[in-house]
Amino acid sequence: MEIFSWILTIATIVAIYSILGLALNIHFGYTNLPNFGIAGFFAVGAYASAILTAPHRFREMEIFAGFAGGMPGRFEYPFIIGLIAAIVFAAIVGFLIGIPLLRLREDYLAVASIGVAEAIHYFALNELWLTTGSAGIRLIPMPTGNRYLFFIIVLLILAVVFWITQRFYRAPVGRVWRGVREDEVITSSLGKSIFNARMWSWVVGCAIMGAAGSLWAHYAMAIQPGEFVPTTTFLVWIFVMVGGLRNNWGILLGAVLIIGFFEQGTRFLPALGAPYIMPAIRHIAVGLLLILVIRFRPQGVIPERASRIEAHI
Amino acid sequence: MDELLSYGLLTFATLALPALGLCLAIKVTKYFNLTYGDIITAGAFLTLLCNLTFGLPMVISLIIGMAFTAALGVFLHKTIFKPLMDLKVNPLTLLVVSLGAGFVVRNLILIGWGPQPFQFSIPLARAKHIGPLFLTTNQIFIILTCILVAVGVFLMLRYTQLGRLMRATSDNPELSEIRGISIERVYVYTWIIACALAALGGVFMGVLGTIKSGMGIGVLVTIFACLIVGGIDNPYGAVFGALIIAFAMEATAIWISPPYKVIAAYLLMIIILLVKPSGLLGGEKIQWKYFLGFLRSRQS
Repeated sequence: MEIFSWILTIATIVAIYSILGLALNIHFGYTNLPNFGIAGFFAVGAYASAILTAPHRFREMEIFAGFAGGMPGRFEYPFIIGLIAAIVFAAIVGFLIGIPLLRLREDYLAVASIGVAEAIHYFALNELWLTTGSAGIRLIPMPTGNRYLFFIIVLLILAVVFWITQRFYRAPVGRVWRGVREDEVITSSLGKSIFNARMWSWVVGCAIMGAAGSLWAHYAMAIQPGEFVPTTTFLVWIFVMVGGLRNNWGILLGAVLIIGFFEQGTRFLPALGAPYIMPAIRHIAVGLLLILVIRFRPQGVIPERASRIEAHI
Repeated sequence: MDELLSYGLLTFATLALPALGLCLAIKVTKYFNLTYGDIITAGAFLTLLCNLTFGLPMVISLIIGMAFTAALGVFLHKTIFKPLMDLKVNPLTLLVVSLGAGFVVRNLILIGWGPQPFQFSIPLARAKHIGPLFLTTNQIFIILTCILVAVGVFLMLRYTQLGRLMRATSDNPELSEIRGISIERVYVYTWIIACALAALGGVFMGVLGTIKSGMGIGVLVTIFACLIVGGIDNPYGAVFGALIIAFAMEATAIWISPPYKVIAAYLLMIIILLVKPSGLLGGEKIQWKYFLGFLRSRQS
């Protein structure tokens, strides 16, 4: 039974990362918005959900940071409210950040979004009244209290997100997004607002990242700012690029290959020396894989399908 | 005010040289290289290797560290970026690849030294008052070295053959190639200079504080903030931007809250990107209409 439990753990993590990957596909694959701030929106979703659902008081925290009389702003709402709040908050934060950022050229956007994610990380680390800083939030309830049932919930949400992403590919708004990706001048000459198209894509992707954050908080049952560092962002980028940018099936495959086998699957190999050695070796392998894939197979394992004209009529 | 001046100058000294190096690299190679942050870390750790493990004096280990960092930069350029540049991929792809390369470098450092912070073994010095400043000998040495090296790089760009080649290549690569400049050699020299400057900046950070394997990415975004504030195509702008960012960060640390000084740098970067995307010393006029018309949709 232990092996089954491991597989369940890995499968849940892979499913949550797949949601992040699909959101990145909306940003970068559909609309050519290189979002390097995934960890930031992931964190917004996770914290929004955790703060709304965590229990009001527990002794450990009171001792830790002098929060006598219960933690500030813990509401003990049910999971579904946490999930909706995570989506809404991530969308709002994404919208506010998008106002200045989406006016930038792609490479400037990439750098600025790393900065935004770092700023959110520092905010979570330092605003003790809201997030309790580096101690993080613990005792977040897992809905249904059962890991098997929770895995089914995660799979359901993954299926919904997958359907939404596939649908957006062919929907009118998705066609505008892809038009923006291919050529901004032609798209705007057809009367489409580039900024609005980019903003819709950005907000939809950020909302999906927020949903993934909420699932992560409820799955891990404890979150702390140290989880939302640029490494998380880079892992998502790497599996999206390896699996096949712009193809949702490729992204699922990439998540299974990189996150499932590489990141989580090697967790049970015997440790070499200090505890940081194995993760570092894994990350080196993943980084080299990214470089090799872009060098020799830039379209990823499963490339984007050539679109048929009749499908759009 | 006095402490703002001292700390501002010190932060400026750590940021100016990496900003200048990254500016040259971007100007000549025409893509954003995110490995640069980890090259800064690598420079600091290679110097640490000479200084702490082999027990060499600081100045000698610094020179050796700079040489090895330059070699690392050229190696990365030759093995990873050059083949892709030959394929004429778009700059964004190179940016993603440089991210992967940075991932590899950072984790190699992590394997070598572990996650804990390190300090160089340098003699402690007592701080003394010099005019309004309150600095130790090491810190004075750092500030003076930074200014001298920056002036040296500017003179090099202005008056030497290599400087002329670099300016010509950044202006118009095709024309330079037609006129018989070996662009590849200019790239290599640029990387050597950029990585040596990165190593200097990393070592200064180590002398003033501590170094650890994960410091690269945070430093990188701050340096990009310097470049964007000053003007990304202008080496003078890089140093000027470093001055502004350094003082803005230290003012935030003194008057608002120390953890938020990095956020102040990012905020300044985003404001400048909106108001004057070419930077303070860049060519364009200030675009107040973007700043005021936030919600107006863009017609490009």
